[in-house]
Amino acid sequence: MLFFHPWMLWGLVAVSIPIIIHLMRRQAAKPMDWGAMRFLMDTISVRRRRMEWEDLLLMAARCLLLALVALAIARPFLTPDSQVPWMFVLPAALLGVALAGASFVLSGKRARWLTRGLAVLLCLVALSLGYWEKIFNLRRFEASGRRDVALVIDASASMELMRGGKTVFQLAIEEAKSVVSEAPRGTAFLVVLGGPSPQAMTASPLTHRADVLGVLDGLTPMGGSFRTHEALGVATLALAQGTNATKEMIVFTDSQRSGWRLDEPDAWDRLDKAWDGLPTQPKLLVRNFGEPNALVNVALRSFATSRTVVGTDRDVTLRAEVINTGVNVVTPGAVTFLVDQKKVGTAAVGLLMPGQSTWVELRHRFGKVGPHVVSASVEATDDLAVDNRWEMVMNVQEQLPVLLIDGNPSGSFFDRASGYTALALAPSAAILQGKTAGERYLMDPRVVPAAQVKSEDLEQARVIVLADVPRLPERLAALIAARVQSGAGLIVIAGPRSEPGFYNPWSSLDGPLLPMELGEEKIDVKGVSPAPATFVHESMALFQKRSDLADAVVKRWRAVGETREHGVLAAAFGNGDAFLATRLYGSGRVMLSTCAFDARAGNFPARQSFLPFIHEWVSWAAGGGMNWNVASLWSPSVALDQAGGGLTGYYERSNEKNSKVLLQRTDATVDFDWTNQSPGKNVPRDQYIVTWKATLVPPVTGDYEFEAEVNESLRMNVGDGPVWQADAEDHELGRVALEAGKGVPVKLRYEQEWGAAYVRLYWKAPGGKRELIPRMAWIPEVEEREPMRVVDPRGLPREATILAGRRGRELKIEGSAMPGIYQVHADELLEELSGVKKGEVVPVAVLRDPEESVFTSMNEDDMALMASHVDLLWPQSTADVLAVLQGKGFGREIARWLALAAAAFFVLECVLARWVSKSRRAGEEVRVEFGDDTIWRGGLR
Amino acid sequence: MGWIAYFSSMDSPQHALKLPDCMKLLPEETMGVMRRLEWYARKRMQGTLSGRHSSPDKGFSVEFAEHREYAPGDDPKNLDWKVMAKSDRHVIKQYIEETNLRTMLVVDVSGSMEYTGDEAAQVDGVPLSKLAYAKHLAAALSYLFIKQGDAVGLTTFDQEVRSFVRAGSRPSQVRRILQELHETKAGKDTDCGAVLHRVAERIPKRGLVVVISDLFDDPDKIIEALHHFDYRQHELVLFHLLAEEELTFPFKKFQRFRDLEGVAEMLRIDPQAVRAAYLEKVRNFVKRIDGACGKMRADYVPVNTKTPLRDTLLRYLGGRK
Repeated sequence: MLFFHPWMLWGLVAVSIPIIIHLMRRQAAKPMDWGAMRFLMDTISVRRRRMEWEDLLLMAARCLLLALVALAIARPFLTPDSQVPWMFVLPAALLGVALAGASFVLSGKRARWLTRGLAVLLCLVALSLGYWEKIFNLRRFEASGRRDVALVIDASASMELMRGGKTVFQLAIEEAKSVVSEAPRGTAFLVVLGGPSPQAMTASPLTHRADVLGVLDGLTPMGGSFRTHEALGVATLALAQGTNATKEMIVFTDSQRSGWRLDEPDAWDRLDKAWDGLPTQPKLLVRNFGEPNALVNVALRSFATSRTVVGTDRDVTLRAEVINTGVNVVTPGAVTFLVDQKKVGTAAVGLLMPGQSTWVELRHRFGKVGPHVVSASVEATDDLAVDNRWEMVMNVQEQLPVLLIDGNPSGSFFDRASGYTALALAPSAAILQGKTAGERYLMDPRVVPAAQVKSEDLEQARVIVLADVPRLPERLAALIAARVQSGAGLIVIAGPRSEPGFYNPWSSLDGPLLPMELGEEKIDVKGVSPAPATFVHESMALFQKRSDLADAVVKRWRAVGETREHGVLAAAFGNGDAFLATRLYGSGRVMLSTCAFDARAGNFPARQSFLPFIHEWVSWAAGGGMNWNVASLWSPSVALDQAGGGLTGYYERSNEKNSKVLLQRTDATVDFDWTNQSPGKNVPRDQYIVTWKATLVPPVTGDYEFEAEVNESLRMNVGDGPVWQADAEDHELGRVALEAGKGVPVKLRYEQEWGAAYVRLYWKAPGGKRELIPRMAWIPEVEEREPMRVVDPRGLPREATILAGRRGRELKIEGSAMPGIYQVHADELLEELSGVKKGEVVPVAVLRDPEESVFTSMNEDDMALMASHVDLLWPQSTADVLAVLQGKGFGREIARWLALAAAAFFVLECVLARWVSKSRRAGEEVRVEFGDDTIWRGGLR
Repeated sequence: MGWIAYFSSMDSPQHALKLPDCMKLLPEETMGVMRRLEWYARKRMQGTLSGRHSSPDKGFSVEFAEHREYAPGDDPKNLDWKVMAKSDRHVIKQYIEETNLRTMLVVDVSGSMEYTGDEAAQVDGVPLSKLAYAKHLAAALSYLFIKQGDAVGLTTFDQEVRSFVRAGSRPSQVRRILQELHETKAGKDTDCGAVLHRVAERIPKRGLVVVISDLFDDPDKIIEALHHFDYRQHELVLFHLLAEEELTFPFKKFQRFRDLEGVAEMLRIDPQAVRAAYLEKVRNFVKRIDGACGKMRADYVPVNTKTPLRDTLLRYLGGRK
């Protein structure tokens, strides 16, 4: 409890007025000799207690009345998160005053001094607590005269909510402007526009008000969600540029919990730590504009397609989820579906109760291959318009290359698991002879015997099917793992020939590839059937009801172990054994079938459902990989997974003085056997030098050994270390300690003179075996390129670049990820990586955060969590904010309540005084008959 | 009637200066009233004492009471010869002992009796305290009884008997009593009950006991003591003296009440706050004493000291008629 006019507390002296009056009255008492003391004493002994109580209450009421008036005049206010509980200070002070008054009324000497002592004690406690709080407040608010203030303005979609004719965002800007113009002189302001990617609108705090006001005027909402921590991080960095010692942060936001990371105490810990770097711990002022009173809002919560891989050969279902996030029952208009801004159909939505959601669907067939903007919008007149629309990009595939590796090429058609599968994918006999299925057909299967698989085959395939393959060479296995890691799908059909000794240890960067450990084959003459009740996987949803999969009889299947980490059981047999299992691996997907899809295993391929079953699974497996839709986080970036990692190779002639780079390319790993061939275009067959430059990111911490198999010589340089050399005789390169996740620059130089040319670079990771350094361990050196032109959802120009990373390359669009469609003008590198033609415009969709439509306010626990990490304040008005900037602190004024209490005490005093005097005056009529007759009547008795 | 002449001689102004101080207790005004009441008093006495007082002027005398059978050993001089002559029965004449009235004035001189009050009756322009009032009253009564030829004595007390004047009927007895009263100063605390018991014991024969007091003591003890008088077959007249202020408690402002008896400590109170309860207490007390007196057929005479002494005497003695 603090006071706006603390000097007014001298008014408390007025409390002594009734005491003085009382004392004067007592002092004026004349002494009188009295005979009938006996009666007086008797009377007193009976009445004293009651009289004392009456006097005591009266006196207490009078003192409290004056004390309350004095306090009210001093205008006390309660700071929102006071260190000193006012509920203790105020009652202590008032009780002290009341006791002080009462002590003068009490007759017992001991009681009097006891009360007086208690009163003094209470008053002292209240006073010292009040003083302590004042000191605390001084320390908290008056650290120094001038301040750097970060104005963090929430620019999320929910800030566009209409309130009284204006959006909340406009209200926030207005309030920020009034804070800027009324703040004390010398306050430096910094503006951070919070959104998916917070931006500091001023590089450092500005003192010139007009500049700050200008910046504030230029702000527009960004949409998406408000990522508070990132915004505060940006504000922290910019505040550090300021020259004033005291720093404050003011967040103008609405009552929305999402984005504050209130479920992650660690995030708040980190923020707290980041603030330790500032000269003083800043205060976080959260100016909350509150929740809407009666929200009327209909939103599209999600938008999806029935299949992730879509071709032009079949319909796809567009599904939109409409939700009523308001508090009233509404019947929104129809949902309109658009493809590339052209209306393709509508779907009606029924009545929606508050909180209720419903799905609407439309079947559509795309006519053109390539990325399309698909959007849905619901017609509704509501408070928040931005969430009535959902836009996304669908990349319609021309063909989906599926590589079926046949492990039993010599078997009859009925014994080959690949046969049925290939036939199911492209019902044409031609494909078994190595031909394709046709132009307009999405699925493009190719069957290759296991022994003839080449790495080029693997590079092209989107989905790799291992049909009853016993085992693969280590190199191919590693390559498949890398492909899956970067987005390809892998379907393992574990037939009788599949060797657990190969499959079970098969692992790469993300651990073992298979979701379950493969066991022995089980044979049952009667057979088992898949149990539809266990079809929990999204790809199995179609077969849960009305399918003949349950009639299939499987007689031979592989036993499997428990699901491994990240593994998911997708379907099981009636006896409880696993049928299908999946796992997500890197950005790709892995599916394991425990039975072969051929006649040996049972009649499964003869079921009607087999064909859609295979299609669903291939589509699902291909579903990993490139996605033009990105979440609204930081800057929009699309993962172009297909070419992750690798090294940048520079090829040049070795015999020239002024050598120039003949070829520059990204090589997946150093694993070449060129023999007498040219390594690439423009490079001679002999006498060349290859320099690879890349950053090596070790997966674990420890000592790494490097070896090379090379003809002629390979020199290697890790970080600042020495140059190692390996040649045909000496494979050893060196040994170095590396830290997990911390990249070191690596330079390799291979010199070729004459003859067979081969070079392979191996490492031995701590606890691992000798292996080729996988592609994912490398980040290639990036060449400088001209950025691509981008038009953002507002129609403003932006730039996009392709960045290389260990996990693949990504298309990164500069600036904040405001939701909407970005038009990227593709260059040749993007063409190479994504298949979009150079010069074409690629749409990239930044998806809306559906959480923005729902207003969930913070609860007590959330506030407690925040307050435990940062110096948090909840100002309720501009005046409160300004009070902080003026070093005063603010709070809820309670003068009115005190005045009311004083009025109550006044009434109480009046009533009490009247009652007391009435009850005492009751004795006025009492008369004692004592020989008042003129004639003595005693004789007449 | 030499003593009348003696008193009458005091009326002349030339003797006023020579008059002893004690005689101020018996001013002319009172004596005038007493003189006028003489006749009524005597008549009343006879009536009240039912024959015990038949011939006060003749000194000792006998009145016939009853006959009883002669028994051997009786003095033959007491035989009623007339009855024997008429009926030939031997009866003895029995007589009531003839005695004059022996009165004991019992005056409370405790500290509380010193209370005067603003409205007290005045004598010679001086307001009378309860004690002064009591002294005047005792003086007047002693004069009355001596004038009637009865014996009168005086006992003063506070915690204990302070002085005792044996009953006597000589005219000089008045002077002695007056002297004693005059010399008595207010004492300490009252212990009315115990003292009255002692007084009751001390009076040898049946007689009239006149108690003049404010009775500021435990009413139970007082009533018990009064019963003692009744038991001893004394006739009791109780003059209960209270000052006007004690009966009305008219104070408005804060007062510090100091105990006249010096027992209770000083009391600083708001009189208005206690008035009703105080008066209730007084009323109950008076009622109690009055009721007790009524039961034992004692005369209870409430006397407010604001009433002039003369009125009090007239009212009581007139009322007894």
